[in-house]
Amino acid sequence: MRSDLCIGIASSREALDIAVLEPGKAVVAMRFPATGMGVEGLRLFLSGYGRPLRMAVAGVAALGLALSLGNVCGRETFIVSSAVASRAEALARYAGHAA
Amino acid sequence: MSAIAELMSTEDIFLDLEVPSKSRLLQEIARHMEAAHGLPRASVFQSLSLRERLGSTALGAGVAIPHARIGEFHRVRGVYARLRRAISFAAPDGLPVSDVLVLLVPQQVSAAHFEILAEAARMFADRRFRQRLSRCEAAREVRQAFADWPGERPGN
Repeated sequence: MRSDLCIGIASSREALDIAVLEPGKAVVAMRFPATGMGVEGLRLFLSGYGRPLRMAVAGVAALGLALSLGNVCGRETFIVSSAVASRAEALARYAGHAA
Repeated sequence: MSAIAELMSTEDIFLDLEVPSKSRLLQEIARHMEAAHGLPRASVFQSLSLRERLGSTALGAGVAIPHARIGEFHRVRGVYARLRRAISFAAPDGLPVSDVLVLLVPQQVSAAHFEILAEAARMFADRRFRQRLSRCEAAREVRQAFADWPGERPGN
């Protein structure tokens, strides 16, 4: 797995489940509401990581989320089919292994 | 009790604060942090301002969560201000901001700090919570509202 910070976002109609994976640390998991304010809160949350990161997004409106949150210098974003990975932690691990 | 309620005492809560702009708001916050908690005013103002230059911390619906890392800090502190008149904050929905929760964290960031930011976002995304805040007439009522969340079923 690469040493970049990896984030998984599993989106449903009700919530955005987030998992943050840093090398050598335990997974950090949290949830934001699936609303406009929730997305903005997530954007604030992601902006706090002042280092390159890799992000994998799956679920409801994944494309829109990826475009909204991924368009930042130093950030690699992957849109993942829920059939491949649907839970936030699995998505974070996917981001870590994706080429 | 929510983690955010534990970051503030009633002296860190301001109702009907009168400021004409975002910059003046941040100056007032910095002034308070120096007077109440001994933090250097210039450092707080510069850190909060720098964060805003990176991108507005407004979430929409009249809410903003300015936040910054402060080198002289050893614990997370919060300040809540309800503005008498909403101010421009470059919010994503274009609306002015009247509910402001300021979070100051130590330079050494930990997962707990991000969880606090996430909780703040969840809290203010709850319409019932925002409505309860707007009805508060005293600082202790505001702190209780933070402490009780999410005691009421969250909703939007």
